[in-house]
Amino acid sequence: MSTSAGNGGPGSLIAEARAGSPDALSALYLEHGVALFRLAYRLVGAREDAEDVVHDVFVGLPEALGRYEERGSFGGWLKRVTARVALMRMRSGKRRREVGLHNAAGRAEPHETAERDGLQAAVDTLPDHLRAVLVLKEIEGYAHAEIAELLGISEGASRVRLTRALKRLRDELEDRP
Amino acid sequence: MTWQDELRKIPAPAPSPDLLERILASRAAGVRVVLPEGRSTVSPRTTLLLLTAAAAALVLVMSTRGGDRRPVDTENEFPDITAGLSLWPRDAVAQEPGPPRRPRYEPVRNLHLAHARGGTWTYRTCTVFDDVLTNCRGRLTITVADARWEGRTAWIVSQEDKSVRDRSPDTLRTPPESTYFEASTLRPIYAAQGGVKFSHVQQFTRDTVRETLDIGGAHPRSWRASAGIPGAPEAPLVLRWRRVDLTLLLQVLPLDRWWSGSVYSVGLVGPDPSKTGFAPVDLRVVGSGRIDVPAGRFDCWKLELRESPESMLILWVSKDRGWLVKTEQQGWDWRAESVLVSATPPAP
Repeated sequence: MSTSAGNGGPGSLIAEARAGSPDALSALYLEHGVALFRLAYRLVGAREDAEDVVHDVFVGLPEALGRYEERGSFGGWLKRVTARVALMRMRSGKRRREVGLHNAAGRAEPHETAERDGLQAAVDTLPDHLRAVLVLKEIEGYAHAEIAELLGISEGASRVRLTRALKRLRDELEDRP
Repeated sequence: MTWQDELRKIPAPAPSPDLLERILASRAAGVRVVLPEGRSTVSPRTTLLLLTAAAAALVLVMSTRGGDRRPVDTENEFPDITAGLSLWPRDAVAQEPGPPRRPRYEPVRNLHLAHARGGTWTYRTCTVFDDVLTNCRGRLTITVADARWEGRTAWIVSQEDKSVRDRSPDTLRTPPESTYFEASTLRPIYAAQGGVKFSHVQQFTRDTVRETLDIGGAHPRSWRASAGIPGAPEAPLVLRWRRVDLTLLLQVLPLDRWWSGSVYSVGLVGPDPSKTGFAPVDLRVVGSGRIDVPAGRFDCWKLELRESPESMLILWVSKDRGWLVKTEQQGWDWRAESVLVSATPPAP
């Protein structure tokens, strides 16, 4: 089922979700949930925190859709909302990351342990303010102007943070055996 | 191969299969979350103007609110406690819009009641604002002792919260308080907090709490309220705004790496129990570690405690005795940490 081509035509799924339909909300989750979870996971750094973020996004989605103007990509809008919720969570200090980035809930999956490479470990060492910019720019492909708006910083600060993040990644990787 | 290529190849897990089910269950239970805008439409200049206007409105409200206080109806058994308090909007004390929040986990069960022990625990509390200003004046002493209440075996838990200063006498930060708990359930029987200016007493039966609040001074007031207690009649309860009962409860929880459980907390009952009286406290083990505090080195479970969607407390609880060794809480521009300074009996 596609967001823009629901049963009743373009946007009908969004309209149904806005009206509170659980089926429409489920369909939106099935279409976007995994991508949003991965974005949240890369930002907050722990599986359960990422699930909390996605949970909150979809629980609040029907009401939030009242503000959605259906201009541009719905997926892009949803990602921006998710990024904001994840960043709010990072700032509020509610995360469980301090337990260990990948084992916060103790449910490490094989790829999180056996296949976790040096780059992943190096990304994990970045402080939040650098990692957020790195994830949003290099992985999610946001422009510095968008990152600046999301993080409440200037474009210049976003560029500086990205430069610092990449430098620290290089340093970290060079130091590893 | 670019940085982007490498970074995008970093694996990310998939969400739990039951996440959608949890989302739908939350919606069905009436939980609502106010999401931020997908795109900000407010410029910094507009934000500044709005903040200025809000500040002006706040000053206006503060300057006029006193004359708008609702007179206390002495004939009414359930007068609105919050009506007499400036800057305490009734709706602001709600846990969240919609029905009361539901417990996140199963009710705590399989308590090891025989593990409960009396003792005295003293904590030092430090608060850091903006990573600069540090205040380490708090000294919290919690005492748990055997007691009897109307022939029943009970625990009495008392708390003394002081502010310690170098060149002046210690001062009490909150009035002394004590609570009797039924030993067989860890449900409160009688809780009292009070000083010269006010007295707050709650008396509990299996399913009801009756509350008395008396405020002295130039304009004395009294309120009486009662409410039904949610949850199972044998389930333990904790008292909101007081951490003392956690000292007892944590000793008997069957903690392990995957443990989670919820208990109800009892706050000010007031006229609208659905908003202010009861809220679930969700506890979950999120890790473990060995930590050093002034009272010694402890192998601990790390628990998260959620009392509302907005607040979370981290608890470090010793694995061997269930002692509360350390608590951590963080806000936007502050963080607070309490560490165990001494204990009687001493740590092994």
